Amino acid sequence: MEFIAKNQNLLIENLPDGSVAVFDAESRAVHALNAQAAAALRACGQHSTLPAIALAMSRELQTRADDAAALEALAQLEASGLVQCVGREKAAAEPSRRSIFGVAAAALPVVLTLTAAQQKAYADQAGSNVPSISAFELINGRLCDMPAGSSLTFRITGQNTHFVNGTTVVTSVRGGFSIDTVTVVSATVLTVTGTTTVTYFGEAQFHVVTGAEDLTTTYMYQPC
Amino acid sequence: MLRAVAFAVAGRHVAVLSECSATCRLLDRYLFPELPRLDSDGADLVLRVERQGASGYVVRSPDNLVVRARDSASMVVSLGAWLDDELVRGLTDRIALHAGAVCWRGRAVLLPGPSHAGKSSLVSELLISGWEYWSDEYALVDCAGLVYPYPRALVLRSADGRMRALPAAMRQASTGRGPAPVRLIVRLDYRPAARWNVRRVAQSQMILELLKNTPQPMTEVKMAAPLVRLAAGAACYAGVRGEASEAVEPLRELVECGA
Repeated sequence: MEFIAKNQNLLIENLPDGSVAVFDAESRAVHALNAQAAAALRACGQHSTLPAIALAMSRELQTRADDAAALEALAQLEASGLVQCVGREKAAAEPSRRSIFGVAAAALPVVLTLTAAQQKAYADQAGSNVPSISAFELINGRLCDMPAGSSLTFRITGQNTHFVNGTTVVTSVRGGFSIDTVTVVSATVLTVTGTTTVTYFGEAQFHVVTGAEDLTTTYMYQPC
Repeated sequence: MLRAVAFAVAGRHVAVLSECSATCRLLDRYLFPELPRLDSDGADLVLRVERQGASGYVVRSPDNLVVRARDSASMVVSLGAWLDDELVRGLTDRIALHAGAVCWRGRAVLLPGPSHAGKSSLVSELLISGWEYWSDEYALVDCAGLVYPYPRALVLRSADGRMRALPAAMRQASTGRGPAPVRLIVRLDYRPAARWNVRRVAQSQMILELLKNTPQPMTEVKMAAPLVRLAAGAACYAGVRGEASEAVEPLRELVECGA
């Protein structure tokens, strides 16, 4: 059984406390390794067998790291895609990992991973929590094409909103548009269908109220 | 006569105009009140606030209506939130971290966390205890990993869920100017009636926490470099706290002992 460290498209940042941050330029995942896991990754770059890796870890950490501890680190690194196990089943299946139990928590290797998709999901949430309208779209044509009496459907998308069927009230602020139906699709999406009452209807402005949540949004005329 | 409240923040020159002198006084009191006031000429982000009698307030940009509010309290909060999102979205040379930021005797401390994590409440308590105010919402990080204040008025949630703006000066707090290296980062989860319980975490683990509290998606690996430099100079902790007032002393001990 041999272990091979991935060394392509990786940016490895060594931190002063001995931990390591690994940035995968290909997947854009970020891995956080504590000192024990970092020692295993570094050892894997120079040695490939379990005993050699364990010995290298012991020297770097200046504490005894047996095969079980090394195997635990390698299993986590393998699960994160930073190390490849060659010649046997995955390192996680090795029975000697059972002996890791009883080792002090502070000495356990830890590999944490944040994928690009997870970071983007957090980024989308990491703004202010105040409700707002993020998009206001006309979904059945263009305003400039619509004579009086035309049926229009708008979709309103909110951020941190709480639209509720039967509670959310939408009113047309500017003249020229009569609302027929409001359909709440979700807490953050609703559609408004109505009829223009003037020719050259150029701007739609709606007032969207759900209890104390009071929002206004405007859709501007776009020249054809 | 059109009056203006103008200031520079996050690399932008912002001007908020109103024909109503009472509204202007309100804006001056609650919109980044600690930042020096500038002339509105040359502003690249211009907003206009209109008072509509019993209907409340509307705030417009040149292209759109951005805020409608029924009263002054909700207007300043909603306008502040809109400005936060607009300014963060427009950052080019800094990264925004969703974090409280305070300073104790020259040592900057970051308190990263999402909404409802209680950052503003904790920052408010720290200000009462004499800490310097940098922000209750965002810390701005440059390429060298140094942190800059984002000194908006604090926004606190009351028991009924309504939000209200509170200038730091109302806590008799001074406001920092920056930049400064961060000496301590503490990721805290609030749990009612919980006891203070934090443990030291690896700097690499804290980088992941910072990435979880960055409103800008990391589309390139190099974008994380400032966060690496920031974490490399700080002692990092994570854990649980109870009431904000009970977290003040443990935080002071952490920062004073040099962690």
